Amino acid sequence: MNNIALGRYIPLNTFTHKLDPRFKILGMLILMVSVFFPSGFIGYGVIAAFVFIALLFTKISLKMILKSMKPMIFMLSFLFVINSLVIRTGYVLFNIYGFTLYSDAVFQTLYIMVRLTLMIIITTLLTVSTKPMDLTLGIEDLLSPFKRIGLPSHEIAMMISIALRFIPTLIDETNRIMKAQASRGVDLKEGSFKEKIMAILSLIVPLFVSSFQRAEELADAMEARGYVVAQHRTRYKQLKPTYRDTVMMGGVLSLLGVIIWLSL
Amino acid sequence: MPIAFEKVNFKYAPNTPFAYEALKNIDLAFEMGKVTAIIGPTGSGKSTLVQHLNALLLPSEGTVLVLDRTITNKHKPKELKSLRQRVGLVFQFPEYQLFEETILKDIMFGPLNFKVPEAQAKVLAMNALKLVGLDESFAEKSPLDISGGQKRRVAIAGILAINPDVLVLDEPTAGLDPQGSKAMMELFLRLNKENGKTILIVTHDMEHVINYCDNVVVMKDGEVINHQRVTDYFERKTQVEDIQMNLPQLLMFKEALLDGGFEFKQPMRYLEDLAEAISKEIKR
Amino acid sequence: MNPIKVNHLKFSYDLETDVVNDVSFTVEKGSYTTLIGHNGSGKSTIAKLLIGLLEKGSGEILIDDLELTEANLDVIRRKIGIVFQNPDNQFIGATVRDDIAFGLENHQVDPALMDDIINNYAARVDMSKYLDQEPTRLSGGQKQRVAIAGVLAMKPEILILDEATSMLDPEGKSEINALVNALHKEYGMTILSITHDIEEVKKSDHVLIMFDGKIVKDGLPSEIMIDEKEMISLKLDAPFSVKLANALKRRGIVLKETLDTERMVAELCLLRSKK
Repeated sequence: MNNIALGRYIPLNTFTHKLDPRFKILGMLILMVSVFFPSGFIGYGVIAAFVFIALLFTKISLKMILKSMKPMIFMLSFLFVINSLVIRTGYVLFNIYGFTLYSDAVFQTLYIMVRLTLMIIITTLLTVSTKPMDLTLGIEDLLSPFKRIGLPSHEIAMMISIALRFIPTLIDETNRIMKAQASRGVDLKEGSFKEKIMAILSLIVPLFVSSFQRAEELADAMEARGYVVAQHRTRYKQLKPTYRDTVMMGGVLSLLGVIIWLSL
Repeated sequence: MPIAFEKVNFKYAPNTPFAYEALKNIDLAFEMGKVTAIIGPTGSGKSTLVQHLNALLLPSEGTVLVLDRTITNKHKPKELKSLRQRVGLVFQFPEYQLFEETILKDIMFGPLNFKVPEAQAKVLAMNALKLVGLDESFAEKSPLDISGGQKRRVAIAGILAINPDVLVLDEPTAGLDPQGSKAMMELFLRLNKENGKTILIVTHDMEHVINYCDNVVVMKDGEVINHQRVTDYFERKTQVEDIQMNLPQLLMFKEALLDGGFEFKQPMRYLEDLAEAISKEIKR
Repeated sequence: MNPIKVNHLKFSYDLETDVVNDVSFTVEKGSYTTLIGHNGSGKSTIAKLLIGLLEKGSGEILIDDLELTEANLDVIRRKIGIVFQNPDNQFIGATVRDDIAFGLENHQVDPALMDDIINNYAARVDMSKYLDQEPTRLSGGQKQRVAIAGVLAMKPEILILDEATSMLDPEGKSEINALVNALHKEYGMTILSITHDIEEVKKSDHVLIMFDGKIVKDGLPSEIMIDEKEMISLKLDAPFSVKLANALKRRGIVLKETLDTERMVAELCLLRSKK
């Protein structure tokens, strides 16, 4: 349960928190794009410096980020082993017992590591500083130009927000059904293959049945309160860009400029 | 063989910012062979308490004794199944745990998990079905095709078929109509009187406590603040009002009559007791 | 003009058995009407028919003398607010604030006006302190209060409660009962409450009893609730006071009042002092 902390919304009142979610999503996308430019280690240094400043503005400690990256260490070391066996370009770093390590193997691994780390930090910056509901609103607005080609952006946003709203409820429900079935002798760890299948069915079937019932009741409640699919609604939460968004977008775009220039 | 809590503490999500102490220093021994009600406001720890009885939760500190088992935090109890076979736990809205194609199969699910041979499991299941007041014609129906009240009965039959010595029920009558819940409470009373089962019921319904239970455990803020015989507990209304529960109708009448000059000496529990006492006073 | 008038209403899920079978009744303006009946008697189906969540088989439903049809569903839903049984399954917004706003958004209220409306109705149900709370942090009673605020914000004339307190603890139950009573008394709202709570029925102006899809009793609680045998035969329970009066009758003590606790106690005390 402790690992869920990565990327979960932290209610603070920082510069980043106050940004308009639409621009925050755009900003994140631009940062992501800049990470993918082959701008060399200098470029990554620039991006890292930018991201570090963003972390300061969001009041996220580097420690928390590092902690949440722990699970990646295994994957990266695995990648390093593969790379060092496969990549045979660049100059020779050393040679022991007939095994030769080439410089490109190290650089490739480092590249991937830096890219991955930056991308994780960039997404974390967004999710930590934006309420899930505001994210949905941002996505809705950003998708709204596609309404003309028939994309139901409002309905998509409504679906996402209801899904978000019901996640905790469904977690509770799952826990309760698991305990109820454990009381009937279900043991997910022991037993034959057939017994395990039954054990899983005994969790999934009730969860489905109750979710369908919830969905039905929710649909009734929404309809009773005047919700009609595809009918125009007003929106309570209005998003308003501030000077902060201009500052942020200015920063992000100039960064992208620098990165493109470095990659030429 | 007892069911007892010795200095039990329980914390949810320990060592996190969400840590929450749900049980504090619980010392409690349930009387075997009786019907005991566990009451208290929402969030007072009732459900947490009963989940210790079949080791779904382990105490953070202290010891839980259940029948011949000792449950502590130090070593993970082995062979949980044998414990869960003897202590049956029915959760709130148990109809949500039905999943098999037929009612019979669903009721047999428990016994089969506990390695009861199939033929015997079937006999147990049919008996349990009868116990909860449903006839054989239900056996081959789908548990999803029957009414809410019937689903509840089937779910309870699913635990009864395991034939536990101790039956723990978390708000078993929530959402049922008055006659449905009365029938349910009478079933538990019968299981206690005729089959000698020890019954523990978490409830908010004081009418059920006064009419069907022998003892009452009162919880508040994670502590047990009272544990006595039901007749003693309902002697004084102040005790009941302490925990923001509704007074049973009988007690409300009794208190009003006492204020109006009536003098009742004998303890009373059922409507007939009150009627008898009133008529004695008036005809005296 | 009657807020709710139902004539010969029929409804069936499977076209075979009528869940609602030729039901007629009237709810009077400003009244507190209770609708009771055993599980599966068709009570909740009636509620869903009244707000057009289910389509009737035959008969007619008149809300404020306006017949409920596909065409005026929207108008009628603005007149009736409903609170359902499960507090979790009707909380739509991410926070209390968003949930109250949900209905306003549907009715295309100007967003600039919403904050005032939300604050006003949150205060009315005593939830002002919780405006930015998520539903997981609220008790069942609080969630139902939010549901009521959400309904009130749409200014309906009629409030239907579909077993709105049956999943609540005693504290939540009394919170909701007190709130609904206040809405009835202070605002003169017409209340139709579907319930199992005999004490609530005792206090209501009018009671309707359903049994197997039919309305079998329709009248004052003081006329209907006093027949213990009949209540049992309808798979319901008689109030404690009625059962006590009957137990006393068997002992030769006949009381005039058998429903109102206070008056019964007064009568008994008088009998006692006479001796």
